[in-house]
Amino acid sequence: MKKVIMVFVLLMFTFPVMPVNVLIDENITLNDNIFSDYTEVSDAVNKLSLIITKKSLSKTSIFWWSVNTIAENYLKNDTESNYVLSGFVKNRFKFTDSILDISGTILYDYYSSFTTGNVADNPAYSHLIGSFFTQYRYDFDKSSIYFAYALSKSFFQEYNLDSLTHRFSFLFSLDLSLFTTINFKALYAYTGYSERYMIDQDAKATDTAFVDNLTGFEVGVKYFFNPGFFIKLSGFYELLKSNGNFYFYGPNETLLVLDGDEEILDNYYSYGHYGVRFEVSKDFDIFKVNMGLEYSDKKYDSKPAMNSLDMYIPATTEIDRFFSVSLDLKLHLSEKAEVYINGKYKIMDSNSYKSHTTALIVGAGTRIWF
Amino acid sequence: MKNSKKALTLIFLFLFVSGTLFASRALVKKLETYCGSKIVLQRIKKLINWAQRSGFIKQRFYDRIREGMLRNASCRIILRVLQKEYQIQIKAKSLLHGTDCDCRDIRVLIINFLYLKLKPGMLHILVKNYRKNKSRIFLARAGYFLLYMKKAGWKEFEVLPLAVIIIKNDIDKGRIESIKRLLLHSRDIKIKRRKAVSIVLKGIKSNKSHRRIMNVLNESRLF
Repeated sequence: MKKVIMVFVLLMFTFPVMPVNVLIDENITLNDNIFSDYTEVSDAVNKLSLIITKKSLSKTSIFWWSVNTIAENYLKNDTESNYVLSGFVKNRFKFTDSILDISGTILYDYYSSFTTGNVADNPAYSHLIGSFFTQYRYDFDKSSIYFAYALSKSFFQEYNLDSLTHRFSFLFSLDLSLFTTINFKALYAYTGYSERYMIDQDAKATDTAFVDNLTGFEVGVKYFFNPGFFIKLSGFYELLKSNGNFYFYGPNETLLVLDGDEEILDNYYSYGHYGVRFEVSKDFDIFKVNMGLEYSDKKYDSKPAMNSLDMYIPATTEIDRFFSVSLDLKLHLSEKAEVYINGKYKIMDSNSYKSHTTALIVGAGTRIWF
Repeated sequence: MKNSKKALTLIFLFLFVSGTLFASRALVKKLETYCGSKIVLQRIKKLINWAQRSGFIKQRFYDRIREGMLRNASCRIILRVLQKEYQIQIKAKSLLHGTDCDCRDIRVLIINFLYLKLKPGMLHILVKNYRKNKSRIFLARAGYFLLYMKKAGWKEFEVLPLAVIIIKNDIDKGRIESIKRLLLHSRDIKIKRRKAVSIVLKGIKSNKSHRRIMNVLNESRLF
């Protein structure tokens, strides 16, 4: 940890003389449920980020590169501490009324030791993600249309979560007036898991890999009462269709013990998810306040709801009702510095015992850039 | 018919002037009984006389006295407030010196801006540009724009080019709201102020829409 801090301090003194832009973000967060699950493990997290970026402009294009490092240290749960190094390049081709972006990112997230974490599919394993992104935007005077495609590949050396995702999205944004903007977003994503296979009735892996098909829509409206005061309301719907099934070992069993209570649960991950988000933001001179509310409902197609004994509740599938309220305060100290405080309270009201969770997250930090 | 209208106007004018005179005399008399210290009272009277002789807006001095008495302020405080008013009116007069429209409206506007702590140097530039198109509304809009941005943490000189263009190009209210929004957005996305002002200025000059200027701003974000 000391070495990491020393490197950051050294970089802080080195970069002002280099022709690049640097952002340093130091943040401490107290989270009373770091895994967002029923175990309710609390911890303090120190997060230090350093972004170094450079941009070159010409009349017809813009070229960016950036290097991002993040050191996230958990005070009590050290196995969750991780260090991210990522590189990003982007080229923007500029035309009269449109732009074309082509970018690539490579990210390595390093965990010194690994655990499975307490949440499925949230493992604390080192991994590498490579992604390619392209976007075309056409601008009218009062509206814009975006078409985007992203391809990303994840590699987990010590875990079976390797995946390849193709994501297509479309966005239409229209200014109804200077004060009102509406947005419509649609997306489709296809994810294939190369190390996860469907299980047959004999509990043996088949040749069919897990595949997720995600479709989503979002409609939002943003209204400005005055230049520093706006509200935003949006509604969204997501539909995940997955062929993945789940081998249930039996109530409260984390290792397979063949005692006859095993079961294969088909169509385990598919769900329909809809909700609303509300945001209000106000500038008070050099101070900015942002408040957010979210409510959503996630209904699983077949995943059974479980009681506190980890047994099925008959003829009931899991329904999660998620509610969160957040408050962010930001103080612009100068042109190159700001301090901020964040707070968020999340409730996941679920009919399934292990999914019923709450979390309170409070953080404070400072950002400087030059 | 025409003559009777003229007579009516003259009567109203007479009533207004004599009413104002009567009211100001009554106020001074009231002040005589209000003030305990004769010395302070004399100084107040002297100040009002100077103001009258210098061609200052006398009504503003009476307003200050009335406000002070309503708030039960001591005569010393009233004197101090009047001295400040006097200083500000001197500044306003010197700022408008040489303009061919040193009218009351403009002077009141400049006085208000000075009270709101807009720097005289900035006002000088606004007045200089105001002389060219002589639109009081745009001078007022430019001044209030500077004050708004000053409250939001900008230095006046940083956004002065935009204030100048508001006067020069007769920028309407909606467009000024758009400029403010663009600048506040530039702060959120960490663009240097000079750069942001230059982008917005260029956009306004070339009559680009709010969305198109916003796109250019977003393009300039560094992080």
